[in-house]
Amino acid sequence: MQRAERVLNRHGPSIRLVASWLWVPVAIAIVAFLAASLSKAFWLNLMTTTLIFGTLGVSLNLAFGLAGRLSIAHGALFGVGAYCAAISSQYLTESVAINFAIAAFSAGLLAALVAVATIRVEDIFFAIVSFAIAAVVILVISRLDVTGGVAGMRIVGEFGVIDLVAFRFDAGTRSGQLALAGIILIGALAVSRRIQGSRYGLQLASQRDNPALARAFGMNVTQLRFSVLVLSGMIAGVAGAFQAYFLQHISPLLFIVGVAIEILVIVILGGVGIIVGPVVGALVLVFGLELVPLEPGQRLIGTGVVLLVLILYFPQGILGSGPMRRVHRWWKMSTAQSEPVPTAGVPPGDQRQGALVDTGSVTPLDDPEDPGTSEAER
Amino acid sequence: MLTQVAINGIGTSAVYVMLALGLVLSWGLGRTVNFAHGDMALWGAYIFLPLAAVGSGIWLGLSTLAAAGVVGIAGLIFGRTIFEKLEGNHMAGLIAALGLVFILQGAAISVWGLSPRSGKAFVSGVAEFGGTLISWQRVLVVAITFATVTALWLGLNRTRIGADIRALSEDVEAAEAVGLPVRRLYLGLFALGSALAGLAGVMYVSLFPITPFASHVLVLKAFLVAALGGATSVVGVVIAGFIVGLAEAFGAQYISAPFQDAYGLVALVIVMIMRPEGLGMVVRRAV
Repeated sequence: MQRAERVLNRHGPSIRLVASWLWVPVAIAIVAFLAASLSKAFWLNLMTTTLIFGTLGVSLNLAFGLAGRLSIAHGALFGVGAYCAAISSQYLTESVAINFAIAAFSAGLLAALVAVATIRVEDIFFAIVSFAIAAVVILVISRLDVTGGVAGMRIVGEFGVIDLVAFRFDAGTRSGQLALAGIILIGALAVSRRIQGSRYGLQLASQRDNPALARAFGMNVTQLRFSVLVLSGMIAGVAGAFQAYFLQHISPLLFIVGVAIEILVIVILGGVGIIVGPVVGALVLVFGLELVPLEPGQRLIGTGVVLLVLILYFPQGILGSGPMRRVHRWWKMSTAQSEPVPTAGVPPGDQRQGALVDTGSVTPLDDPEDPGTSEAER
Repeated sequence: MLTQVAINGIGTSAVYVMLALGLVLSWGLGRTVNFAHGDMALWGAYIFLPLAAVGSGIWLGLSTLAAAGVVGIAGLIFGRTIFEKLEGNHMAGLIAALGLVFILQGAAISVWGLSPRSGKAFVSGVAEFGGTLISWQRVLVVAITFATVTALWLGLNRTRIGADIRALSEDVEAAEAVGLPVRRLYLGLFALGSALAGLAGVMYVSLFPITPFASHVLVLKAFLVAALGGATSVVGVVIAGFIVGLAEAFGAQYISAPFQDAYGLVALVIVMIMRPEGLGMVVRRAV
């Protein structure tokens, strides 16, 4: 670890820049390997679902982990994305790309509504209002004619051949869908990582830990909260559009408040505020729990118990505690990017209690010893 | 027609008020953002149904008390084992309550199955006043709700322990400094709030059929009304309950039925933007 730091110090920012994006080809290689090696439909579908829930977790982590706004609306944002893609596929266009854009836009719009409705309220009320809006949206969806009510609706069209700069694959096949889900997840991760190290990300952290201080430093807290929620909602909307095309048939039960709670468990399981945390969380909760033979009711109980145990005994999650924490820290230090803004360095002693799931330090950003923060002070 | 819609709306409003009263105790005056409130209400209903099937008359009243009591004791256990350990970290308490939602709902699905159960009215029959029909059950629900509201208001405003609780909700540190048993009061508030959830569940199932997923609607209405009412005020919650219930009844009748649940939300969002502390503060200032 010491040596790695020395090397990094000598070669300066160029290595950091390369290193900070090194994970992208690695992640693409992992996804490609999974898509190529898994052959049974069951495993491919399960892995695809895992990646999509990982994306949702990354999206919630933006709002909750980075900005401290615990949204219980992410199930509904996911659902609005899926339904808007499906409705547009039936009445407007069969172009997959346009429907993805429509899904992102409409979920972003709902997120904007949540943000506007909660402009003047703090964390707890934010959670409650976001929950109320989400629950009402799903209730309305389950009653409208255009959405097919409780029975749900079909989406018209399928994924076609996708031609990206370097690769070309048929997303119509199961392994192609897995690859596409992987690309969406990697995109969401890239956005989050770019934000976390940036001036914007530090401003988000600073308004999360002490909104009054952030305001005193001249940050527009309202605007910060609004923008991060809309961005997070758009990612959830894209995941929703994918889900609609992936399942071909969607119903309101796929997007109820329980799904939002599941996304929250994924985030906390991985470690709140840790960018790659939700991927680990989804692997354990979506992939792992599927391997245990459980009735639907028992599965719910199991997920609930996991959440309770986490919040009572391991609020830092898998990547935030124990030996994994050291690995993650090293990773963050070796890839920390861009110049932090001095104003965003909130004094460690000045952090408001209860801003996050805090029992001391939950997110790496909260940690006074954390390299990210110490760098801001350097 | 107008009065008929209003009468039905009042019956629903009373159930909403009942649901939100428990949250006033556990969330507004206490410190637990109890998202499991709806599932507790559901369990109250599920405990009530098999008990009530056995007898009639006074037995129904006893079954109601038993259902509320069991849910209250469960609340005591949850409060003791989970929420007390989180020491007033509101966000952690909220997340723990979300975990409880899954556990209670999963247990309800495992024990009672997914099929809907029809409601069980205490009294049958319909009264007619000048062309307007009122089922006696709705009258009874409204009466029970008002009895509970009165008891709660008197308990909070006219007793020593009520004064303690109000002091606690205003300033925890000061309450601790003057020697109030803070932990025990919080635990009691949560247990009593849970018992009221059980009671509200019985009221709900006396009017409507239930499934394990009914808890989503129950907890939504409870939080809508409690947040709109300002969470700490019994009177505010009563006003908010009637705003939400009547807005839904009239909205469903005269605007559009599928959007029924959205009308109360619109009121909440407007109040959240104009006056984030809820209606209760306005009421308190006026009274």
